[in-house]
Amino acid sequence: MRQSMINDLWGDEEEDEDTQKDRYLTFHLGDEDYAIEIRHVTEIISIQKITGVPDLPDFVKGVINLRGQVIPTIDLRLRFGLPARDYDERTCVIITRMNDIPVGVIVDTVNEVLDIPAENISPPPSVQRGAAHRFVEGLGQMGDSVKIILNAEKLLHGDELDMLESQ
Amino acid sequence: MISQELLQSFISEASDLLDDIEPSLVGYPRLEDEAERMEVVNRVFRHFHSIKGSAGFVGLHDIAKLTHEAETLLEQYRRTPTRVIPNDTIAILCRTVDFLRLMFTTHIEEEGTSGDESATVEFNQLIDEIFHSIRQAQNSPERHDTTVDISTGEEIPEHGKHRTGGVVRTPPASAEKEEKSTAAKTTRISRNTEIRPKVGKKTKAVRRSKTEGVERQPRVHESSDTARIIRANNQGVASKLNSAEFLGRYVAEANELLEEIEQALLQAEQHPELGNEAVQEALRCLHSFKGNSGLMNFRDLERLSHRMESEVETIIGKDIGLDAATFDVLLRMIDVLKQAMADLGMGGNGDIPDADTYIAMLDDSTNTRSTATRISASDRSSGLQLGPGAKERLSAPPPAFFDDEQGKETETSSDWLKPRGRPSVQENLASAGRANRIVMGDPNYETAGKPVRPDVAEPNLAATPVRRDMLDAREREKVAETEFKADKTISDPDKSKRLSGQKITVSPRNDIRVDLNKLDAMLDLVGELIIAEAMVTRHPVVSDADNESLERAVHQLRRVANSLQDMAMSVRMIPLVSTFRRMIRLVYDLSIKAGKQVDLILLGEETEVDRTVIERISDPMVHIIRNAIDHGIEPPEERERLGKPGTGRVTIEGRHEGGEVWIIITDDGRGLDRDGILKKAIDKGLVSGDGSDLTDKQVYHLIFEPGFSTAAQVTDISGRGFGMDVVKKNIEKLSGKIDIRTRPGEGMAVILRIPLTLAIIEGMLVRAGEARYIIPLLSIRESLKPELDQILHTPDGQPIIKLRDELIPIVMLNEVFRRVNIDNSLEDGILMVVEGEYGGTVALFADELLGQQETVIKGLTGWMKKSRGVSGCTILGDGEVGLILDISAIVQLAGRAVV
Repeated sequence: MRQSMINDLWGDEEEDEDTQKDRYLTFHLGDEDYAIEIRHVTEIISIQKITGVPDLPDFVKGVINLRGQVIPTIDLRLRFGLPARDYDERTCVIITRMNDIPVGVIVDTVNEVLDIPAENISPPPSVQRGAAHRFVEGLGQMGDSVKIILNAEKLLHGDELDMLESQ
Repeated sequence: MISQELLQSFISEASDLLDDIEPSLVGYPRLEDEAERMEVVNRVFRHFHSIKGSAGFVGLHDIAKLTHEAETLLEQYRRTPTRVIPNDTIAILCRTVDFLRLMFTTHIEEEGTSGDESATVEFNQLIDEIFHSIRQAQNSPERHDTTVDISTGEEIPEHGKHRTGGVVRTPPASAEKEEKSTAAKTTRISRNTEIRPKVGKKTKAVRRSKTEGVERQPRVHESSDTARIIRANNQGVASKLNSAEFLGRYVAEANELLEEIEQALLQAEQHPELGNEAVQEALRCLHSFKGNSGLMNFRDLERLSHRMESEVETIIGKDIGLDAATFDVLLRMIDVLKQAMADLGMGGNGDIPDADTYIAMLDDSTNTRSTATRISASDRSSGLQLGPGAKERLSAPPPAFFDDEQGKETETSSDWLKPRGRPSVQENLASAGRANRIVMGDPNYETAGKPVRPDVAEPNLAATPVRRDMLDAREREKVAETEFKADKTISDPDKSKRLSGQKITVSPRNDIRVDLNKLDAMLDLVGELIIAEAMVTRHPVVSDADNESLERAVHQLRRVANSLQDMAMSVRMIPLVSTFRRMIRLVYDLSIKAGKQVDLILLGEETEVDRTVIERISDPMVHIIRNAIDHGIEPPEERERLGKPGTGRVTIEGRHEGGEVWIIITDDGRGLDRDGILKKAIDKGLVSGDGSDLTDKQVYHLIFEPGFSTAAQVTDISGRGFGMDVVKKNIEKLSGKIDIRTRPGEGMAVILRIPLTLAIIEGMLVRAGEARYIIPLLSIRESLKPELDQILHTPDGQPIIKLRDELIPIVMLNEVFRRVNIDNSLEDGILMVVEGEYGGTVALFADELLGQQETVIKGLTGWMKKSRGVSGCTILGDGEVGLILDISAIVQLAGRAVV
């Protein structure tokens, strides 16, 4: 919002979509590495004081103040149904923006930005178990390691959140 | 494709005009006085005319067509002041207004294409009806001036005699295309309108004759009408135009125009090789200036600029270029006009004492020039001195000049209208690629109805070459006609009192149009600045620092930030007037439907409220007014029986009251019936017991329950019981409150209390465990530290506090919200007695009261909005987010709502 506000007032900076193609931000959660398309990410901040908001699902931790902007924040562990873990100095909040709505995502640690070519991405496993399956878009192979590529749309705005909205 | 911006500005302007037309039409049948009626007819006519002009200009021919017909219809009544417009005709005109509005929305959505099929059908139907009315009007026996014989289709054009010197234009090529689509219509037109025998068989000619015949007439009177209307304004009879504001705008725009004229003339003088373009620019500006002056009834200004216009026009017409002498005179005249403007700004009356002298100067210059062209050399005085011609004129009364001049000017006009093969308006429009599905546009639309409203960005219109061309063509037609009009105006013996009779001191007002998004973005930034300011000034390092100069600086920062905030907020404020005016039509329609007579009184229309309020307040008002008229006001017979005046009264009042805006809607009808409401509520199971323990207020607020209606039967106005629910929801969104006051048999008042601004609230900051919440001050009745003996517990452990004679349930914040802890026990904490919007009082328990503060509200985005009990959030002094509690929701969440 802030960026777009400034753009409105002082001209616009066009984002170059092409340079963001196939680029993913990878982060660590529990025992696995995950990846999310970089175009949805605006910045990464360290964990800070979160104000709880009542009447929302548990994985919605509350709101944080990012330079005057109030950003709803979800805990990805809780979103995936993983056991909660105390936040430490490595805990990060990935600030994403989708459909002009910012959402903070709390993850254990942030790793790096990676190029994962489309041909290296295989579809999610056909065997389904657990609640988090629906967030998985594909599996990206980088040498030995596998990054679980997440569907940002579903992650940040889908399912329960949708139900919330239609309440 | 037509420029979106142009279209937008047309639509916003035309909507304003419609907003004025509507109440005028609705009020018309009540007017007793012939003069007042004429004023209304003239005003409406003028507005339709303006819309038509602008619509033609932006290429919306369907709209132009419709307004043109409406104009023609009104014209029937303009000519004979004794005639009264029948109600069904008023109804047709009202529907025309509705349809125009519909068209505007369609045009906004579909970028200049006409609506769908049903719209086309409706359009044709309306046109038919208008035609019908016109025919009726023409057939009416009261009309003496014209003989009509429909069977032969002949009518002797009474107004034909006004047509001087054959202004004949060849129909543009594009007319051919339109011909097809309107072939059927044309035949009808030819039956209804005057046909001159010579051209009677050619439809094109018929249409032309019609346009000219009907349209020419109105212009003749236009200025004098304006004069009358302005006089009326002065006396506050018909219109509530804010004359000071109007005048301010006029002066601002006039100065701008004068600047432009000067620039254009200078350019024409310096670059004669550029041809007439600059001169035409000057002509356009002069014309606007004249038009505005005429509207404001500054006769001298109008006369002088008119004369200058003819001068400039002659230059263009004869293609002789701008000679030095004329140039000098014109510049001199511009100085005179500027002087007059300055005078006006200082509270002068806009009179130019030596107007006649100046006009004579111009005459003289004309003579000089014509002599010069004929005799090649001349020793006669150059324009700045008074030549012999001028001296003669000085002794002659002003009208003589115009009579004198008329023949010549008309000749000139037709001269340059005819032969030069310039593209016509239609061709221009067509070449600009504008196509409408309903192309019924009369090819000879005369677009003289150039927007007279001063806030139209005229320079903007002329910005691109295409538009310039269009304007050129327009201007020409227009000039030819305004000549004519002005002649008549000046010779009008009824020299009116003018606006400037009262001294109004105005400073020129400078408006700019700003994109709303930019404005909102800026306001957001201001909000953030305020937060940042608080974060800095309340930062422990700063607030604990023992340094006097730092303290002063902080103080200064705070002061500036606060003024900035106030200023930013005032930018968003808009007067209620247009919202209120819209109700006039509503009341009119409703009273007819309900068969009741209702007077509507509007008070405090100038009250300014936040833009968001304007957007949201309209619906609630509509529902309340519906209720007032349908349920509140009794039928006339019943009223008479009760000893009330047969005509009911609805008052809408807006005013500031503390930090709130109050919109009070009062009727003098039955009032609310406590017993009736209670009975209904008990039937519906909304109230347990006999309800005798409920306060009046609680009972009255029952009407806001969805589906609650005391109406025995559902009418098409109201009765389903959801209207008041809408009211409640909308006012809640505005964080406002509703008060109801009523006296059985005497009427009721609904007071909508809305916070002055939605961006800031006064709140009480409380702590509950680690969380801090803001409770809007408006909701808090009182706060107290409870004594243990005041508190009792019900068997299931619900604490209740006895406060004076009231028993109020206590709600612990941690019971309503999960994840909230309360540290203190009841006797250590603080209780805030809060009141939900619609009944229901609870005492909220929190740990600590942290203080009262002004809070900049930030909305919660996306799915966060769904959090019940929280209406928004704010950034607290230490940078953390604080939640603003939605008290009504909490009352409901707690399940304590009494109703």
